Amino acid sequence: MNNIFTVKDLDLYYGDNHALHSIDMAIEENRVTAFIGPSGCGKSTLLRCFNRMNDLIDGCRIEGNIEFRGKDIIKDKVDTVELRTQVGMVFQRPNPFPMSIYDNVAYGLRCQGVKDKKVLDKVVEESLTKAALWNEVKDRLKSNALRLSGGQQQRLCIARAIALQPDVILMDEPTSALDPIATSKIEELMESLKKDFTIVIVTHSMQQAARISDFTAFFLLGDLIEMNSTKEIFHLPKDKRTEDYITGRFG
Amino acid sequence: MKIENQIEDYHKVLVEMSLRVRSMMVKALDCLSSGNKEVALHVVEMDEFINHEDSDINDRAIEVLSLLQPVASDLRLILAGIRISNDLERIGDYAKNIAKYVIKNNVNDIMYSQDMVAIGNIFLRNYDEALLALKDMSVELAYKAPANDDELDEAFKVYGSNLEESITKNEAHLPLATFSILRNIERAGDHTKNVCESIIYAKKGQHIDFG
Repeated sequence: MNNIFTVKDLDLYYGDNHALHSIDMAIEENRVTAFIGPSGCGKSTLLRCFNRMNDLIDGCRIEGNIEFRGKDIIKDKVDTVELRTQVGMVFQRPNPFPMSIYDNVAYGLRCQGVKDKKVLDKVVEESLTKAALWNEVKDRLKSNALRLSGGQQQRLCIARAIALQPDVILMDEPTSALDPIATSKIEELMESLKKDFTIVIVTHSMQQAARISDFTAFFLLGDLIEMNSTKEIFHLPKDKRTEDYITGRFG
Repeated sequence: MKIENQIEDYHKVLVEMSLRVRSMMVKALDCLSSGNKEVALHVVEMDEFINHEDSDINDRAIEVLSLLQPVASDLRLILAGIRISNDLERIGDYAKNIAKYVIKNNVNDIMYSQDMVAIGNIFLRNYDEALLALKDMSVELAYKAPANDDELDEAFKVYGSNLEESITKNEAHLPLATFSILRNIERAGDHTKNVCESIIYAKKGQHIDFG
């Protein structure tokens, strides 16, 4: 198995706040990796390092390195626009653009200069199909994306990320604003998406991490406490703090 | 409903069941020694209670599994507990079987009845170690009881072949009762080893086979 990301001795500061402490980890390709831990433990912060989203935060300083397919994306000169097409992101609240379903999915490609309608049609259909949304929206591609339900909007955001054919999809609590049915659709979708993509997901639901991920990393107060196969973490965690957290005896 | 409390109660019920099973076996050996049929009858009645406790533990396990989604050590204890209560229930059955032979026969007619009480006491000594291991969920103690089980197997072999000899010489009285009682004690020892295996699984997630 290949590691798509390798994090080495990564420290992150928000001003004086030392938010991540010498993190070392590897993310395997075509696998779902879940980050769990209490609020403020640094899991979302680390997730955002993978496509340099922290660059947008004032006073954020990163030391150490993250290799993406062997290239250091922290120190080396990186085109963040290109990086973010390779490493897409889906957020907690669905954030479709206020435009049609079709235009949402085609947006990224159009930004890259693709104008050929045949190409766009094909990518839109493929992306919506992969995001398990095509059958629900194929007859109303021109209608406003904001009219979709929350769960559909989130799958649309996934389709929009997929359209750029990224290698990795980062998901920051993608189902926390959704009902159980929409959640289970997204979870099913992740299972099918990992054939083509690597998925890293931040989740507050331990059951969700247990259900969908191959690997789980547990964070606490900026430290990576333990990372292992999800089966090991939920069956026989090595660190007492992991055990206490996943069995609900924390705090 | 806090999972800590549920798990604590679950463990407590398991320990209580193991104590009750112990008292059943003590009584079964007492009546084997004294021939007291009233005590033997009481042992048979106690079995109902043990069966009920086994079902209760299963129901508690189902409740925790379905409502609280236990993981890690909690989940392992729940799974181990289902197995332990099943093993305890079987040990209870063996005590009941011994008591039934006492009810049906005059103990003085059963060959080696007093020797078998002594063998039963070896079982009890091992069982007590397993019981302590269960009470403290101690891996160290869980290795002790199985280590001494060979004594029980050896006694079963020796008395088994003595019995066989008596049968061939046509000198045996109630050989079926003698053999069955010996067998029941030996099997109870095997289930004690299973209990220890389950304790080790609950604590360390390892599958040990004491044979």
